[in-house]
Amino acid sequence: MLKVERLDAFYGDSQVLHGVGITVGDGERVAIVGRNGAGKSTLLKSLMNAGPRVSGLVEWQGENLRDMPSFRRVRLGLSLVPEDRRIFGHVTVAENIEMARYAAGGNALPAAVVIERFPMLVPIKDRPGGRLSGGQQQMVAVARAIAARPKLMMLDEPTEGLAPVIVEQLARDVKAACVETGAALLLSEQNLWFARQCTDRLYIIDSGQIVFSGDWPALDRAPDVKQRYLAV
Amino acid sequence: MLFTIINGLATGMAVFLVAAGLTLIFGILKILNFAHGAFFMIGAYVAFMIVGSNPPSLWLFLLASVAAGLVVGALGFITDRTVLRRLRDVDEAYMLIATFAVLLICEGAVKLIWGVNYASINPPPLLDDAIIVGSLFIPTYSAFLIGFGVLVYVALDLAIHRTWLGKLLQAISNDSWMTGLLGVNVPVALTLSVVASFMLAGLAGGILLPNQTLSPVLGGSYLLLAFIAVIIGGLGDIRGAFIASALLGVIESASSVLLPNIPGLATYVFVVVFLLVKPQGLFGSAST
Repeated sequence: MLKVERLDAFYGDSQVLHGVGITVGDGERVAIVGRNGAGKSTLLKSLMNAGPRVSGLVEWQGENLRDMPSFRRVRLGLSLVPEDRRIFGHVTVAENIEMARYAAGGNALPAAVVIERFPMLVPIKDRPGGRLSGGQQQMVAVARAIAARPKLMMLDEPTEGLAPVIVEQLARDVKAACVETGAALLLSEQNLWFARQCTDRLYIIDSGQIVFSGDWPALDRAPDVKQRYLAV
Repeated sequence: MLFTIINGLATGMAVFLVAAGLTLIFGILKILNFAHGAFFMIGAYVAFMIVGSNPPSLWLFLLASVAAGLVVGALGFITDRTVLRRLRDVDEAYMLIATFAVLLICEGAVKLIWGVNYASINPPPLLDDAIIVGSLFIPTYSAFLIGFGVLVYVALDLAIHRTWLGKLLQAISNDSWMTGLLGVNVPVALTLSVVASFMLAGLAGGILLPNQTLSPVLGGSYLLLAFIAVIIGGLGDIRGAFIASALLGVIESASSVLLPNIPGLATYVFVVVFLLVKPQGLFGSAST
Protein backbone atom coordinates (compact mmCIF):
# COMPACT_ATOMS: atom_id res chain seq x y z
CA MET A 1 0.00 0.00 0.00
CA LEU A 2 2.84 2.39 0.91
CA LYS A 3 6.07 2.00 -1.01
CA VAL A 4 9.06 4.22 -0.35
CA GLU A 5 12.24 3.92 -2.43
CA ARG A 6 15.55 5.83 -2.54
CA LEU A 7 14.13 8.54 -0.32
CA ASP A 8 16.48 11.42 0.46
CA ALA A 9 15.39 14.24 2.76
CA PHE A 10 17.07 17.52 3.52
CA TYR A 11 16.76 20.35 6.01
CA GLY A 12 18.41 23.26 4.24
CA ASP A 13 21.73 21.96 2.98
CA SER A 14 22.06 19.08 5.40
CA GLN A 15 20.89 15.68 4.28
CA VAL A 16 19.01 13.75 6.96
CA LEU A 17 17.77 10.67 5.08
CA HIS A 18 19.92 8.69 2.64
CA GLY A 19 18.16 6.38 0.20
CA VAL A 20 15.52 5.08 2.59
CA GLY A 21 13.27 2.29 1.37
CA ILE A 22 10.32 0.84 3.31
CA THR A 23 6.94 -0.69 2.61
CA VAL A 24 3.74 -0.93 4.65
CA GLY A 25 1.02 -3.33 3.51
CA ASP A 26 -2.76 -3.04 3.86
CA GLY A 27 -3.67 -2.98 7.56
CA GLU A 28 -0.11 -3.86 8.50
CA ARG A 29 1.52 -2.43 11.65
CA VAL A 30 5.17 -1.55 11.31
CA ALA A 31 7.64 0.17 13.62
CA ILE A 32 10.57 2.42 12.80
CA VAL A 33 12.98 2.32 15.70
CA GLY A 34 16.27 4.06 16.21
CA ARG A 35 18.12 6.45 18.43
CA ASN A 36 17.50 10.15 18.81
CA GLY A 37 18.40 12.00 15.65
CA ALA A 38 18.46 8.85 13.52
CA GLY A 39 15.85 10.31 11.17
CA LYS A 40 12.59 8.77 12.42
CA SER A 41 10.61 12.00 12.63
CA THR A 42 12.10 13.27 9.40
CA LEU A 43 10.98 10.10 7.64
CA LEU A 44 7.38 10.44 8.83
CA LYS A 45 7.28 14.16 7.99
CA SER A 46 8.74 13.40 4.56
CA LEU A 47 5.94 10.96 3.88
CA MET A 48 3.43 13.76 4.60
CA ASN A 49 5.47 16.42 2.75
CA ALA A 50 5.29 18.42 5.97
CA GLY A 51 8.69 19.99 6.44
CA PRO A 52 11.84 18.54 4.87
CA ARG A 53 12.73 18.83 1.22
CA VAL A 54 12.37 15.37 -0.29
CA SER A 55 13.49 13.47 -3.36
CA GLY A 56 12.84 9.85 -4.25
CA LEU A 57 9.71 7.76 -4.58
CA VAL A 58 6.75 7.86 -2.20
CA GLU A 59 4.05 5.68 -3.70
CA TRP A 60 0.67 5.36 -2.01
CA GLN A 61 -1.92 2.91 -3.35
CA GLY A 62 -0.09 2.85 -6.66
CA GLU A 63 0.14 6.62 -7.01
CA ASN A 64 3.43 8.52 -6.95
CA LEU A 65 2.73 11.39 -4.54
CA ARG A 66 5.63 13.61 -5.77
CA ASP A 67 5.14 17.10 -4.29
CA MET A 68 1.46 16.71 -3.32
CA PRO A 69 0.73 19.03 -0.33
CA SER A 70 0.05 17.42 3.03
CA PHE A 71 -3.65 18.30 3.21
CA ARG A 72 -4.24 16.30 -0.01
CA ARG A 73 -2.34 13.33 1.43
CA VAL A 74 -4.65 13.43 4.44
CA ARG A 75 -7.62 13.14 2.11
CA LEU A 76 -6.02 10.09 0.50
CA GLY A 77 -5.97 8.36 3.89
CA LEU A 78 -2.55 9.23 5.32
CA SER A 79 -2.43 10.74 8.78
CA LEU A 80 0.44 11.91 10.99
CA VAL A 81 0.38 12.51 14.74
CA PRO A 82 3.48 14.66 15.33
CA GLU A 83 5.69 14.03 18.33
CA ASP A 84 4.73 17.31 19.99
CA ARG A 85 1.02 16.35 19.57
CA ARG A 86 -0.12 19.88 18.78
CA ILE A 87 -3.53 19.83 20.40
CA PHE A 88 -5.48 23.04 19.74
CA GLY A 89 -5.75 24.94 23.01
CA HIS A 90 -8.64 27.20 21.95
CA VAL A 91 -11.24 24.42 21.65
CA THR A 92 -12.30 21.45 23.80
CA VAL A 93 -11.12 17.86 23.52
CA ALA A 94 -14.29 16.89 21.67
CA GLU A 95 -13.92 19.86 19.32
CA ASN A 96 -10.29 18.95 18.67
CA ILE A 97 -11.49 15.58 17.45
CA GLU A 98 -14.43 17.09 15.58
CA MET A 99 -11.94 19.42 13.90
CA ALA A 100 -10.51 16.45 12.00
CA ARG A 101 -13.95 15.84 10.57
CA TYR A 102 -14.42 19.40 9.39
CA ALA A 103 -10.88 19.50 8.08
CA ALA A 104 -10.83 16.26 6.16
CA GLY A 105 -14.54 16.12 5.37
CA GLY A 106 -15.90 13.02 3.69
CA ASN A 107 -16.50 9.97 5.81
CA ALA A 108 -14.80 11.00 9.06
CA LEU A 109 -16.18 9.67 12.32
CA PRO A 110 -18.19 11.88 14.71
CA ALA A 111 -16.25 12.87 17.83
CA ALA A 112 -18.69 11.05 20.14
CA VAL A 113 -18.03 7.73 18.41
CA VAL A 114 -14.26 8.18 18.57
CA ILE A 115 -14.29 9.22 22.21
CA GLU A 116 -16.07 5.99 23.17
CA ARG A 117 -13.10 4.06 21.80
CA PHE A 118 -10.70 5.84 24.17
CA PRO A 119 -11.97 5.37 27.74
CA MET A 120 -9.51 7.95 29.07
CA LEU A 121 -11.15 10.70 27.01
CA VAL A 122 -14.73 10.25 28.20
CA PRO A 123 -14.41 12.24 31.45
CA ILE A 124 -12.37 15.05 29.86
CA LYS A 125 -14.19 15.54 26.58
CA ASP A 126 -15.36 19.08 27.42
CA ARG A 127 -12.04 20.26 28.83
CA PRO A 128 -10.14 22.92 26.84
CA GLY A 129 -7.26 21.49 24.82
CA GLY A 130 -4.86 23.83 26.60
CA ARG A 131 -5.43 22.15 29.96
CA LEU A 132 -4.39 18.54 29.40
CA SER A 133 -1.59 16.37 30.74
CA GLY A 134 0.95 14.86 28.34
CA GLY A 135 -0.80 11.49 28.32
CA GLN A 136 -4.19 13.05 27.74
CA GLN A 137 -2.77 15.14 24.90
CA GLN A 138 -1.36 12.03 23.27
CA MET A 139 -4.71 10.23 23.54
CA VAL A 140 -6.50 13.19 22.01
CA ALA A 141 -3.93 13.36 19.22
CA VAL A 142 -4.39 9.67 18.39
CA ALA A 143 -8.18 9.98 18.61
CA ARG A 144 -8.07 13.02 16.34
CA ALA A 145 -6.08 11.05 13.80
CA ILE A 146 -8.44 8.05 14.00
CA ALA A 147 -11.46 10.33 13.51
CA ALA A 148 -10.38 11.00 9.93
CA ARG A 149 -10.48 7.21 9.29
CA PRO A 150 -6.96 7.03 7.95
CA LYS A 151 -5.85 4.01 5.93
CA LEU A 152 -2.37 4.55 7.37
CA MET A 153 -1.82 6.26 10.71
CA MET A 154 1.68 7.47 11.50
CA LEU A 155 2.57 8.05 15.15
CA ASP A 156 5.76 9.89 15.95
CA GLU A 157 7.20 8.82 19.31
CA PRO A 158 3.83 8.71 21.11
CA THR A 159 5.29 7.46 24.40
CA GLU A 160 7.81 10.26 24.79
CA GLY A 161 7.54 11.72 28.29
CA LEU A 162 4.60 9.51 29.36
CA ALA A 163 4.26 7.58 32.63
CA PRO A 164 4.56 3.77 32.29
CA VAL A 165 0.92 3.15 33.21
CA ILE A 166 -0.20 5.56 30.48
CA VAL A 167 2.13 3.87 27.99
CA GLU A 168 0.39 0.52 28.66
CA GLN A 169 -3.04 2.08 28.23
CA LEU A 170 -1.91 3.79 25.02
CA ALA A 171 -0.56 0.52 23.59
CA ARG A 172 -3.93 -1.16 24.15
CA ASP A 173 -5.90 1.74 22.70
CA VAL A 174 -3.67 2.26 19.65
CA LYS A 175 -3.71 -1.41 18.74
CA ALA A 176 -7.46 -1.71 19.30
CA ALA A 177 -8.17 1.41 17.25
CA CYS A 178 -6.08 0.09 14.35
CA VAL A 179 -7.67 -3.35 14.45
CA GLU A 180 -11.21 -1.98 14.67
CA THR A 181 -10.82 0.53 11.85
CA GLY A 182 -8.53 -1.61 9.72
CA ALA A 183 -5.95 1.18 9.63
CA ALA A 184 -2.32 0.35 9.00
CA LEU A 185 0.19 1.78 11.47
CA LEU A 186 3.64 3.24 10.95
CA LEU A 187 5.09 3.89 14.37
CA SER A 188 8.27 5.76 15.17
CA GLU A 189 9.49 4.78 18.63
CA GLN A 190 12.41 4.44 20.99
CA ASN A 191 10.38 2.45 23.51
CA LEU A 192 10.89 -1.12 22.24
CA TRP A 193 8.29 -2.61 24.56
CA PHE A 194 5.62 -0.27 23.25
CA ALA A 195 6.67 -0.74 19.64
CA ARG A 196 6.54 -4.51 20.01
CA GLN A 197 3.08 -4.37 21.59
CA CYS A 198 1.71 -2.35 18.72
CA THR A 199 3.45 -3.77 15.65
CA ASP A 200 4.38 -7.03 13.92
CA ARG A 201 7.65 -6.05 12.31
CA LEU A 202 10.18 -3.26 12.35
CA TYR A 203 12.83 -1.28 10.57
CA ILE A 204 15.86 0.08 12.38
CA ILE A 205 17.05 3.44 11.16
CA ASP A 206 20.48 4.82 11.94
CA SER A 207 22.08 8.01 10.59
CA GLY A 208 19.30 8.33 8.04
CA GLN A 209 19.67 4.82 6.63
CA ILE A 210 17.66 1.64 7.12
CA VAL A 211 20.05 -0.84 8.73
CA PHE A 212 17.69 -3.68 9.70
CA SER A 213 14.36 -5.01 8.52
CA GLY A 214 12.47 -7.97 9.91
CA ASP A 215 9.96 -9.17 12.48
CA TRP A 216 10.46 -8.95 16.24
CA PRO A 217 11.69 -12.56 16.69
CA ALA A 218 14.28 -11.82 14.00
CA LEU A 219 15.53 -8.93 16.12
CA ASP A 220 15.81 -11.31 19.10
CA ARG A 221 18.02 -13.56 16.97
CA ALA A 222 20.33 -10.67 16.16
CA PRO A 223 21.56 -9.35 19.50
CA ASP A 224 24.54 -7.67 17.81
CA VAL A 225 22.17 -5.48 15.76
CA LYS A 226 20.28 -4.51 18.86
CA GLN A 227 23.51 -3.75 20.69
CA ARG A 228 24.93 -1.71 17.85
CA TYR A 229 21.97 0.43 16.85
CA LEU A 230 19.61 0.55 19.80
CA ALA A 231 21.63 0.33 23.01
CA VAL A 232 22.01 3.65 24.73
CA MET B 1 -22.65 65.15 27.25
CA LEU B 2 -24.84 62.33 25.93
CA PHE B 3 -24.57 63.92 22.52
CA THR B 4 -20.79 63.82 22.80
CA ILE B 5 -20.88 60.15 23.66
CA ILE B 6 -23.20 59.26 20.79
CA ASN B 7 -21.12 61.29 18.41
CA GLY B 8 -18.04 59.52 19.75
CA LEU B 9 -19.63 56.12 19.34
CA ALA B 10 -20.43 56.94 15.70
CA THR B 11 -16.79 57.89 15.14
CA GLY B 12 -15.76 54.76 17.01
CA MET B 13 -17.88 52.52 14.81
CA ALA B 14 -16.42 54.19 11.73
CA VAL B 15 -12.98 53.34 13.10
CA PHE B 16 -14.10 49.80 13.85
CA LEU B 17 -15.32 49.22 10.30
CA VAL B 18 -11.77 49.93 9.12
CA ALA B 19 -10.13 48.13 12.06
CA ALA B 20 -12.19 44.95 11.58
CA GLY B 21 -10.46 44.00 8.34
CA LEU B 22 -7.07 44.98 9.72
CA THR B 23 -7.37 42.85 12.81
CA LEU B 24 -8.81 39.92 10.83
CA ILE B 25 -5.87 39.77 8.43
CA PHE B 26 -3.44 40.22 11.29
CA GLY B 27 -5.10 37.59 13.46
CA ILE B 28 -5.00 34.89 10.83
CA LEU B 29 -2.04 35.76 8.59
CA LYS B 30 0.03 37.96 10.92
CA ILE B 31 0.14 40.61 8.22
CA LEU B 32 0.27 44.25 9.30
CA ASN B 33 -1.41 45.59 6.19
CA PHE B 34 -0.31 49.17 5.55
CA ALA B 35 -2.32 49.16 2.31
CA HIS B 36 -5.61 48.60 4.15
CA GLY B 37 -6.41 52.32 4.19
CA ALA B 38 -5.72 52.59 0.46
CA PHE B 39 -8.20 49.80 -0.28
CA PHE B 40 -10.70 51.46 2.04
CA MET B 41 -10.27 54.58 -0.13
CA ILE B 42 -10.71 52.60 -3.35
CA GLY B 43 -13.93 51.20 -1.88
CA ALA B 44 -15.09 54.76 -1.23
CA TYR B 45 -14.32 55.78 -4.81
CA VAL B 46 -16.10 52.76 -6.24
CA ALA B 47 -19.20 53.56 -4.18
CA PHE B 48 -18.91 57.21 -5.21
CA MET B 49 -18.90 56.20 -8.90
CA ILE B 50 -22.23 54.45 -8.33
CA VAL B 51 -24.07 56.94 -6.12
CA GLY B 52 -22.44 60.32 -6.93
CA SER B 53 -22.44 63.27 -4.54
CA ASN B 54 -26.12 62.95 -3.67
CA PRO B 55 -27.08 59.29 -3.22
CA PRO B 56 -30.60 58.95 -4.68
CA SER B 57 -31.80 56.32 -2.22
CA LEU B 58 -30.74 54.40 0.87
CA TRP B 59 -30.93 51.10 -0.99
CA LEU B 60 -28.68 52.24 -3.80
CA PHE B 61 -26.25 53.52 -1.18
CA LEU B 62 -26.19 50.15 0.58
CA LEU B 63 -25.92 48.34 -2.73
CA ALA B 64 -23.03 50.57 -3.75
CA SER B 65 -21.26 49.76 -0.47
CA VAL B 66 -21.69 46.04 -1.07
CA ALA B 67 -20.44 46.49 -4.63
CA ALA B 68 -17.42 48.36 -3.25
CA GLY B 69 -16.82 45.42 -0.90
CA LEU B 70 -16.96 42.97 -3.80
CA VAL B 71 -14.65 45.02 -6.03
CA VAL B 72 -12.10 45.50 -3.27
CA GLY B 73 -12.44 41.82 -2.31
CA ALA B 74 -11.51 40.95 -5.90
CA LEU B 75 -8.53 43.32 -5.65
CA GLY B 76 -7.64 41.48 -2.45
CA PHE B 77 -7.57 38.21 -4.37
CA ILE B 78 -5.25 39.76 -6.97
CA THR B 79 -3.02 41.30 -4.27
CA ASP B 80 -2.82 37.95 -2.50
CA ARG B 81 -1.84 36.08 -5.66
CA THR B 82 0.69 38.65 -6.84
CA VAL B 83 2.21 39.83 -3.56
CA LEU B 84 1.09 38.44 -0.20
CA ARG B 85 1.17 34.73 -1.03
CA ARG B 86 4.74 34.94 -2.27
CA LEU B 87 5.92 36.45 1.00
CA ARG B 88 4.28 34.02 3.44
CA ASP B 89 7.44 32.16 4.30
CA VAL B 90 9.91 35.02 4.50
CA ASP B 91 10.71 37.52 7.21
CA GLU B 92 7.88 39.83 8.35
CA ALA B 93 9.87 42.93 7.41
CA TYR B 94 9.45 42.05 3.71
CA MET B 95 5.70 41.91 4.19
CA LEU B 96 5.70 45.37 5.79
CA ILE B 97 7.68 46.83 2.92
CA ALA B 98 5.52 45.04 0.37
CA THR B 99 2.23 46.29 1.82
CA PHE B 100 3.71 49.78 1.95
CA ALA B 101 4.59 49.47 -1.74
CA VAL B 102 1.04 48.32 -2.47
CA LEU B 103 -0.21 51.40 -0.58
CA LEU B 104 1.86 53.68 -2.83
CA ILE B 105 0.69 51.88 -5.97
CA CYS B 106 -2.95 52.19 -4.90
CA GLU B 107 -2.63 55.90 -4.13
CA GLY B 108 -1.01 56.44 -7.52
CA ALA B 109 -3.73 54.44 -9.24
CA VAL B 110 -6.46 56.44 -7.48
CA LYS B 111 -4.92 59.69 -8.66
CA LEU B 112 -4.66 58.37 -12.22
CA ILE B 113 -8.22 57.06 -12.34
CA TRP B 114 -10.18 59.58 -10.30
CA GLY B 115 -7.89 62.60 -10.29
CA VAL B 116 -6.80 64.72 -7.35
CA ASN B 117 -9.98 66.77 -7.00
CA TYR B 118 -11.99 66.80 -3.83
CA ALA B 119 -15.58 65.61 -3.76
CA SER B 120 -17.99 65.73 -0.89
CA ILE B 121 -20.90 63.37 -0.50
CA ASN B 122 -24.17 63.83 1.35
CA PRO B 123 -25.89 61.09 3.29
CA PRO B 124 -28.61 59.28 1.31
CA PRO B 125 -32.33 59.98 1.95
CA LEU B 126 -33.53 58.67 5.33
CA LEU B 127 -30.02 59.06 6.74
CA ASP B 128 -29.82 62.82 6.18
CA ASP B 129 -32.26 63.52 8.97
CA ALA B 130 -32.00 63.59 12.71
CA ILE B 131 -33.73 61.85 15.57
CA ILE B 132 -34.73 64.21 18.34
CA VAL B 133 -35.27 62.70 21.76
CA GLY B 134 -36.12 65.42 24.26
CA SER B 135 -33.22 67.83 24.02
CA LEU B 136 -31.03 65.23 22.34
CA PHE B 137 -30.24 65.64 18.67
CA ILE B 138 -28.93 62.52 16.95
CA PRO B 139 -28.15 62.59 13.21
CA THR B 140 -29.74 59.48 11.68
CA TYR B 141 -26.48 58.78 9.87
CA SER B 142 -24.70 58.55 13.25
CA ALA B 143 -27.37 56.19 14.54
CA PHE B 144 -27.01 54.16 11.34
CA LEU B 145 -23.23 53.96 11.77
CA ILE B 146 -23.55 52.75 15.34
CA GLY B 147 -26.09 50.13 14.33
CA PHE B 148 -24.05 49.00 11.34
CA GLY B 149 -20.85 48.77 13.38
CA VAL B 150 -22.55 46.61 16.00
CA LEU B 151 -24.04 44.45 13.23
CA VAL B 152 -20.65 43.88 11.59
CA TYR B 153 -19.10 43.09 14.96
CA VAL B 154 -21.79 40.57 15.92
CA ALA B 155 -21.62 38.91 12.51
CA LEU B 156 -17.82 38.62 12.63
CA ASP B 157 -17.77 37.42 16.21
CA LEU B 158 -20.35 34.72 15.49
CA ALA B 159 -18.56 33.69 12.31
CA ILE B 160 -15.24 33.30 14.09
CA HIS B 161 -16.36 31.76 17.37
CA ARG B 162 -19.46 29.80 16.45
CA THR B 163 -18.94 28.42 12.95
CA TRP B 164 -16.61 25.63 11.91
CA LEU B 165 -15.05 27.80 9.26
CA GLY B 166 -14.19 30.28 12.01
CA LYS B 167 -12.81 27.56 14.26
CA LEU B 168 -10.67 26.23 11.44
CA LEU B 169 -9.38 29.74 10.76
CA GLN B 170 -8.51 30.10 14.44
CA ALA B 171 -6.77 26.74 14.26
CA ILE B 172 -4.77 27.99 11.27
CA SER B 173 -3.90 31.13 13.18
CA ASN B 174 -2.68 29.06 16.15
CA ASP B 175 -0.90 26.30 14.26
CA SER B 176 -1.16 26.31 10.49
CA TRP B 177 1.20 23.34 10.11
CA MET B 178 -0.96 21.04 12.23
CA THR B 179 -4.16 22.33 10.65
CA GLY B 180 -2.74 21.34 7.27
CA LEU B 181 -1.92 17.90 8.67
CA LEU B 182 -5.59 17.49 9.57
CA GLY B 183 -6.49 17.97 5.93
CA VAL B 184 -7.34 21.67 5.73
CA ASN B 185 -6.38 23.34 2.49
CA VAL B 186 -4.46 26.04 4.33
CA PRO B 187 -3.38 28.11 1.26
CA VAL B 188 -7.00 28.46 0.10
CA ALA B 189 -8.18 29.34 3.62
CA LEU B 190 -5.51 32.04 3.86
CA THR B 191 -6.52 33.51 0.51
CA LEU B 192 -10.15 33.52 1.67
CA SER B 193 -9.13 35.43 4.80
CA VAL B 194 -7.30 38.02 2.73
CA VAL B 195 -10.33 38.44 0.47
CA ALA B 196 -12.63 38.76 3.51
CA SER B 197 -10.38 41.40 5.06
CA PHE B 198 -10.26 43.40 1.83
CA MET B 199 -14.03 43.09 1.41
CA LEU B 200 -14.45 44.62 4.84
CA ALA B 201 -12.18 47.50 3.77
CA GLY B 202 -14.24 48.09 0.63
CA LEU B 203 -17.53 47.85 2.49
CA ALA B 204 -16.25 50.34 5.07
CA GLY B 205 -15.25 52.68 2.24
CA GLY B 206 -18.80 52.65 0.91
CA ILE B 207 -20.58 52.90 4.25
CA LEU B 208 -18.37 55.76 5.49
CA LEU B 209 -18.64 57.70 2.24
CA PRO B 210 -21.22 60.28 3.43
CA ASN B 211 -19.90 63.29 5.34
CA GLN B 212 -16.43 62.57 3.92
CA THR B 213 -14.25 64.65 1.75
CA LEU B 214 -13.27 62.18 -0.90
CA SER B 215 -9.71 62.73 -2.07
CA PRO B 216 -6.59 60.65 -2.63
CA VAL B 217 -5.49 61.27 0.97
CA LEU B 218 -8.60 59.66 2.46
CA GLY B 219 -6.69 56.40 2.88
CA GLY B 220 -4.72 57.70 5.83
CA SER B 221 -7.58 59.37 7.67
CA TYR B 222 -9.08 56.43 9.55
CA LEU B 223 -6.10 54.14 9.22
CA LEU B 224 -4.12 55.61 12.10
CA LEU B 225 -7.01 55.38 14.55
CA ALA B 226 -7.84 51.92 13.23
CA PHE B 227 -4.27 50.75 13.83
CA ILE B 228 -4.44 52.16 17.35
CA ALA B 229 -7.73 50.33 17.94
CA VAL B 230 -6.21 47.08 16.68
CA ILE B 231 -3.21 47.46 18.97
CA ILE B 232 -5.22 48.41 22.05
CA GLY B 233 -7.75 45.68 21.36
CA GLY B 234 -4.98 43.08 21.26
CA LEU B 235 -3.64 42.26 17.80
CA GLY B 236 -6.04 39.97 16.00
CA ASP B 237 -8.83 40.21 18.57
CA ILE B 238 -12.14 41.28 16.98
CA ARG B 239 -13.91 41.92 20.27
CA GLY B 240 -10.95 43.92 21.54
CA ALA B 241 -10.87 46.00 18.36
CA PHE B 242 -14.60 46.69 18.70
CA ILE B 243 -14.40 47.92 22.27
CA ALA B 244 -11.16 49.82 21.66
CA SER B 245 -12.72 51.56 18.64
CA ALA B 246 -15.74 52.67 20.66
CA LEU B 247 -13.45 53.88 23.43
CA LEU B 248 -11.23 55.82 21.03
CA GLY B 249 -14.24 57.42 19.36
CA VAL B 250 -15.63 58.62 22.65
CA ILE B 251 -12.24 59.93 23.79
CA GLU B 252 -11.78 61.79 20.50
CA SER B 253 -15.25 63.24 20.74
CA ALA B 254 -14.93 64.22 24.39
CA SER B 255 -11.51 65.80 23.91
CA SER B 256 -12.77 67.89 20.99
CA VAL B 257 -15.42 69.31 23.33
CA LEU B 258 -13.31 69.65 26.46
CA LEU B 259 -9.96 70.52 24.88
CA PRO B 260 -10.90 72.06 21.53
CA ASN B 261 -7.50 73.74 21.08
CA ILE B 262 -5.42 70.58 21.12
CA PRO B 263 -7.25 68.02 18.96
CA GLY B 264 -6.04 64.44 19.17
CA LEU B 265 -3.79 64.91 22.17
CA ALA B 266 -6.07 63.04 24.57
CA THR B 267 -6.11 60.04 22.26
CA TYR B 268 -2.35 59.72 22.18
CA VAL B 269 -2.02 60.25 25.91
CA PHE B 270 -4.62 57.51 26.37
CA VAL B 271 -2.76 55.14 24.04
CA VAL B 272 0.58 55.69 25.74
CA VAL B 273 -0.87 55.22 29.22
CA PHE B 274 -2.88 52.20 28.14
CA LEU B 275 0.10 50.44 26.58
CA LEU B 276 2.18 51.10 29.67
CA VAL B 277 -0.49 49.53 31.86
CA LYS B 278 -1.70 46.72 29.57
CA PRO B 279 0.85 46.07 26.83
CA GLN B 280 -0.97 42.86 25.85
CA GLY B 281 -4.13 44.70 24.82
CA LEU B 282 -7.60 44.77 26.33
CA PHE B 283 -8.10 41.05 26.91
CA GLY B 284 -4.48 40.15 27.33
CA SER B 285 -4.11 37.62 24.55
CA ALA B 286 -3.26 37.92 20.89
CA SER B 287 -5.59 35.28 19.52
CA THR B 288 -8.66 35.77 17.39
